[in-house]
Amino acid sequence: MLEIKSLSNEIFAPLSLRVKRGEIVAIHGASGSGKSVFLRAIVDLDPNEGEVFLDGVERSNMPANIWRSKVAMIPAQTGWWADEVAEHFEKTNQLDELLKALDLPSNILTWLVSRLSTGERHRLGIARAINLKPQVLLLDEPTAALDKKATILVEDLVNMQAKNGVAIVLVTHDEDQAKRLANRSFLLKNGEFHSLKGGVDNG
Amino acid sequence: MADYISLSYWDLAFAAIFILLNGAISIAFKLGLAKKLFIVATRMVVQLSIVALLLKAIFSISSPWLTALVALAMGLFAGREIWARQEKKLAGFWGYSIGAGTMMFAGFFVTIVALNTQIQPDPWWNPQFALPLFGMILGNTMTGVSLALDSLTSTLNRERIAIEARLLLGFNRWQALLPFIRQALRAGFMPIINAMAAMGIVSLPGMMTGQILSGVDPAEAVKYQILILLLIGGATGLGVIGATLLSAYRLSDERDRLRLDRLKATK
Repeated sequence: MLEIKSLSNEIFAPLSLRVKRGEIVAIHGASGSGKSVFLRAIVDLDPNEGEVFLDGVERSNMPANIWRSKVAMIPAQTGWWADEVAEHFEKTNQLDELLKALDLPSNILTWLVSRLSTGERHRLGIARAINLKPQVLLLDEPTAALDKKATILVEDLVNMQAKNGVAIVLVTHDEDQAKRLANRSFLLKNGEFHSLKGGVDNG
Repeated sequence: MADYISLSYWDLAFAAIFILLNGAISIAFKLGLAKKLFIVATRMVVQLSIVALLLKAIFSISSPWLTALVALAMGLFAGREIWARQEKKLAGFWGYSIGAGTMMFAGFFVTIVALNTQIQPDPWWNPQFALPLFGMILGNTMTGVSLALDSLTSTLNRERIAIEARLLLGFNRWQALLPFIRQALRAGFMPIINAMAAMGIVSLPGMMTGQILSGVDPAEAVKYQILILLLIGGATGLGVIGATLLSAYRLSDERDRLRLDRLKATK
């Protein structure tokens, strides 16, 4: 279970949230309400205050890079640092299956990054993170750049991850998507969570 | 071999005609360079004239403390150049001290070792040897360090999304920054590598030609030049590596975050 206790930084007031394994929690909110910054704080990418536990272990008990390999965030914009797609991926035995699940061509790893479309980049970004088998997935607008067909594939993959016991936090502006996927959803407004679905969080 | 030929001030004034010619061309074609060219040429003459007077005085006083003080002042000025040449720079104290500190450490270290082992003037700090040697080493180290830091800070700033993608995939800060650190090191080493590669074929360095012009046997002048280039290469390398790694350290933190907030905000 992911447990966030009084997490805060310069942009948002202390926020608490619990997400069980296999659960999908959606967060809505206007642009600038701090949704993405909240996800960045969970993975400790910006300076922040508060505690975050994974199965009872606080993140400060482990190096930040180990924490991020367990609690993975997929940002809205994917980053690339080498010419070839393959250089951004770890070779694992579920990788081919993941690419297939997202309807990406089987030889896409041999392509150059410069040749990828926005949608392909985004789906590859999702595959790249899930490929490392994190226990928690934080998704920031995972389908904003995708067409209807790709959106459904990503949603199916997210559902599958939850079924496999991954705890998922989904930041989305698409309320229908939240309804389709989330067990609970919240509105982040004025630095506070307002429950939209599934009862008040007990975090 | 011909003796040293002294220059008159009229010789210098005559040479300035070429600069004036450039200025005239600039004005004729509205290139906007004339004023700048005139200012820097004047600055160069004034700066060098003052240096001549200062060096004369320092050589005649010949005090170790004064020599050290002059070297320190040169280092502080060079540090300020490094600071000013970076488009993006670390905020506050770090912005100046990392570049200036590593450059001065490398410059002093290599100069002092060279004076005590290879050149061995008497006394070893003799300003006639120490200051020109330190100046050459410092100037080149300054160029290397400022290029490396400029590359590092602007690359990290530009590649934020790629670096954060690496951090999010479980790289620690050194792993995440390594490609960009390499790029900065390459930028810092480039001038000295180019200089060494072109040496003697494309360019005859100023120090060596200066010695030859003043009547020194070319074989002796070349030996000095080789020594100087090796020292410059050594000091530049130390300074570039030190400054780049310390800046990368400062632009990240122990929780493996990229800390671009530690860069000075630019308008």
